Amino acid sequence: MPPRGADDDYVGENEAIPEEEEDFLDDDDSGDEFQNLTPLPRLGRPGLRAKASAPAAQAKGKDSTKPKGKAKDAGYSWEATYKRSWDNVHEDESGSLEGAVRQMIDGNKRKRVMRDVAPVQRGIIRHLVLLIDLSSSMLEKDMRPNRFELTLQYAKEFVNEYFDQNPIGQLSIVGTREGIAERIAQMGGNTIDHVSALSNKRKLEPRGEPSLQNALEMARSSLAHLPASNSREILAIFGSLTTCDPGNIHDTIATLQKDQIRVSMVSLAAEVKILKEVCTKTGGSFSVALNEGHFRDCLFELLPPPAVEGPKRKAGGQADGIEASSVVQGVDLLQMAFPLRLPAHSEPTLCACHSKLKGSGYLCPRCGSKVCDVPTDCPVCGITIVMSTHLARSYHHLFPVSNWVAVGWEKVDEKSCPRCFSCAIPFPEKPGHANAAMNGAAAGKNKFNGTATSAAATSAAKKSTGAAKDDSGLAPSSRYACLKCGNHFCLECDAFVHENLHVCPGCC
Amino acid sequence: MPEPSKAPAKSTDVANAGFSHLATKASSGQASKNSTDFLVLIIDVNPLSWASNFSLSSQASIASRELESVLDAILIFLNAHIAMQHENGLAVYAASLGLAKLLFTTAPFASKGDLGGSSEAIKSKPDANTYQHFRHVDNAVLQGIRKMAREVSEKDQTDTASNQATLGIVSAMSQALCQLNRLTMTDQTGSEQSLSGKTPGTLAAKSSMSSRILILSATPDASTQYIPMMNCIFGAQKKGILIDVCKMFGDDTVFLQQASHLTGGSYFRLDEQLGLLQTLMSAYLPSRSIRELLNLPNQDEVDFRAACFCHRKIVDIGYVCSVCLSLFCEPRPQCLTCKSKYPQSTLERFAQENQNRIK
Repeated sequence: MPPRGADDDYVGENEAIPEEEEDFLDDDDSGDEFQNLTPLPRLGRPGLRAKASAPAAQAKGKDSTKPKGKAKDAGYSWEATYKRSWDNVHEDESGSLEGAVRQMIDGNKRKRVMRDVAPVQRGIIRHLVLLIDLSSSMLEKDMRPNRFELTLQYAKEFVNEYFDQNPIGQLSIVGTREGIAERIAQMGGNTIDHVSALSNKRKLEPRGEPSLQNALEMARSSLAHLPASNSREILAIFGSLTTCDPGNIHDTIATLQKDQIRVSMVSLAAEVKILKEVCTKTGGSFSVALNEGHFRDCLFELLPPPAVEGPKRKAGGQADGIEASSVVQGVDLLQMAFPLRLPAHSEPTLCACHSKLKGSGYLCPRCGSKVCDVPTDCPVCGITIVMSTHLARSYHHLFPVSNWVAVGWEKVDEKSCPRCFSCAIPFPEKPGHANAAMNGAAAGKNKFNGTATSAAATSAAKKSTGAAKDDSGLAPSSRYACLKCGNHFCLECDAFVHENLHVCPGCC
Repeated sequence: MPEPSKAPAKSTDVANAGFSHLATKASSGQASKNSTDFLVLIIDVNPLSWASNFSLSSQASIASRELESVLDAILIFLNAHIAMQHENGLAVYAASLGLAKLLFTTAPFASKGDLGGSSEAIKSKPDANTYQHFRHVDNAVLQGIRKMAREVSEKDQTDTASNQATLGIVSAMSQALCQLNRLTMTDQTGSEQSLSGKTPGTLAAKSSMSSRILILSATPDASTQYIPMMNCIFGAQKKGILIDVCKMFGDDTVFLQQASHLTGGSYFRLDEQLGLLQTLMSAYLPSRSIRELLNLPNQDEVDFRAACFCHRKIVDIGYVCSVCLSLFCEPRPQCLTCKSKYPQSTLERFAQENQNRIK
């Protein structure tokens, strides 16, 4: 628990809440369920605040120390044995670290590429609520420039990337500060609206205490009514170690579970028990950001549509992973409308979404009303309006490019192409491998990416003695082969094809 | 480049005649940015479509003669592109049945050893009357296409039925995108090093490379290529690469129309074979920076309509499987693609709605 002395501040803040409560209910046009909630405490009782697990809270504390030792999944990092991270870095023959550093960078690249490509059903039609903590703890400067600025910046990037990868998904943004939740952006499919809402820093200025329960309830209210075929998710960025809740948060967790809403969280401070519990109970992921880069990675991991839970998982071993026998939850037939696009120079008419006079737009084929942007739900008849390209954009989640395997030197012979199949960069020459097996043991863990002859020989020897793949998945010959077409590619193309292109240049 | 100055050559004297004002405008307007233009040309040399297009009128030999005249036009265009600006980059791919090959590239990292196999020929016989750089390109492209035609015909004899359906266009596109990706990466790191002192260095580095892909298409769409093609288009869109399409003959291809529309390129269907050179020079030669000042040919109506998977009917309101996003024109109890069964309640609801509408 944090030092009790800090409570005095909270009491003052809590007293201010009831006044704002009415505003909040008026502002919210879709969150009807809030009226049913127990009202926020009128007394200055701090509620279920300070759920932080004791060691984590102590580590963070109220003092100004900014510990970088964040909690990991297994125990706390300070309980683990000391890791001599610098032992992993080795100099090469010329005493330079360049090779080692490059290998680490390449290893990261490769790791990102090696995604799970097993065919699973994915909740393509996503509805996600991005929940942002706007409490005063977001002003901490342990991440540069501070948590708040960084969060807004990453959130904007996330929104852009989210709509790029999930073109028929929708997003809403909810913030929480001073013990209440506020809707920052309505559920919708328009990138510009969301990004402009996030750009308004003055409106989002962090202050007071966050309320996890209020925020979750508000998020739930905008997700609960959706049909079962949509995947419902909440992604929370939480900087505070405490939360100021009006009721029992475990009830909220139970309702979230019942509504099959998946909650994922990225904590900027420490592993807090209640935050983790929300995530584990609802099937989401919980992570603690170690630094700026890791924070970004944690967020962006959640960009691809999630695999659908349940019986589908077990069927993953089958050819296409889909059971034909029974109706499975999440499978549904959806009605979608493909609109008529009006050219920009057509006669201006009023649009149904903003009531603005505009030339361009799309006509709903069912009711004939005009909307500015697709994909969206028709404001008049409610049908989902999409373009065929939006559907096409989602196909790569369903038919991903299979992972390419690292190629060892022993598989490289005269017949294999001397350059990358797609970008034509020459591969390094195959070293004379007569003595490869002999001097393998000497160099130990020193693995280089096929640049230095001796290091490459070492890796080749490793491969031949049974240690087929090193941890990083890097190829000693810097070749990566597609199993289907058998062509060899370089690491850059590997990353580009799997992250952006989603087409194997050799197979198509 | 062997020579820093732009030595005028025989072929481009004519070719560049009308464009000198454009070139100077480009260099004066964008001098501060120093924008280089990287052009990727994809030539569709699918023998089937070439033969089928010209066999109607006359013998098969006409087709090869036509191909040669088209190649002449293309070479003039390529030389003009190189002559426009010293830094201009170029890569040429040939796409045929089931394979696509890089014939020539100016990308600094690429190994040029066995691309066209023409380097020895040039070294042995320097021609005083041609600009060496043009000669490189011409030789590489001509010999590459010749070699490819030989390979395709050999392959046809060995296995006839295997690769008939797949086209090289998508493969060439994806290879081109990979190369452009690599190029922008090396470009960025290179200019960051050189501009390390200046503050707006990173921004300038990003915008300094403008790349586009020009596809000279001859083959109609293959429906199996839809998903890879779309993925390529989205990849290009994300990277900010234009895709221009010049349809040399035959019917319009909807996929390539979408490609040029989505990436902001221009699509042009050639009505007259003889007009190829003129079209290439006037529509596709100007670099991206002056494109916005020109009124380029563009298609007014792009077909974005969706066709259902079951009857290939164009649908306004369709039924989409939530699992695999297959599109059907009417409610059905089971998905044709992924075999998942739909709940009875939704089917009933749709049936009721349809009845109401009929009433």
